[in-house]
Amino acid sequence: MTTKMAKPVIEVAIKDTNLPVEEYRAALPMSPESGGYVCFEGHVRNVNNGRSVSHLEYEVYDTLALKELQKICEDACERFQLNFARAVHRKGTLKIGEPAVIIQVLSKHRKEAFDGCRFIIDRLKSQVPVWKREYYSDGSHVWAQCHDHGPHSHS
Amino acid sequence: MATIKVTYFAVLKDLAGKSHEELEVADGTSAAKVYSILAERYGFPLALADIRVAVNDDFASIDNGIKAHDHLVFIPPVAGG
Repeated sequence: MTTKMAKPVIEVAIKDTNLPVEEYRAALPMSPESGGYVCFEGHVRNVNNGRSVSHLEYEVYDTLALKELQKICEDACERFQLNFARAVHRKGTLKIGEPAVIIQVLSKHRKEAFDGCRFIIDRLKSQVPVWKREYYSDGSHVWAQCHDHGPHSHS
Repeated sequence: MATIKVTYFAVLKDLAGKSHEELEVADGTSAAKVYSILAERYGFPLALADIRVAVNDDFASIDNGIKAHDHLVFIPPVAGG
């Protein structure tokens, strides 16, 4: 018997308040088909490139960021047969330790869940119009450069 | 002439000293040319190869001609996550 996969559920958002990670975990659309759940949370780290960070500010081009997050999640659902993908990014001022990004995926098996989650966070970092200003303990600040992206695609 | 809107983010916003503005440009001017004009005006350090452009909230080719009422956003290297 062939059963057609239900349309995957996708949720994307940009939030200017603390990410409610417990609520996101509690509100997963679990189903009997979803045997694998993988979540990535990125939190603000106290040191970057050897410099002591005091806090961060994220600036986001909301309209385009949401469109890109949606596209990335749709792409991930198709490539990795995900049943669910959620991608939420913070904007505004964040303290050390606060969650900056959360990616959650559900799939039939673990491999697809790990790979799908990794795909979404990697694409988010290289493509989604979000910028990070790092404030250091000495009072200085700088817009962070993304070091781990691939070539920009000038489509 | 065409009136367009340009919105700035991150380092470009800092250097322009504003988040958006309206500009008058010749109809059909490429987004690349608009960036060059602004880069000279505000001292943007990023080369054309290092930025992308969004026109009306979608990524677009930087070589495309723009038309009246277009909304341009020049996108410096992103750093989310």
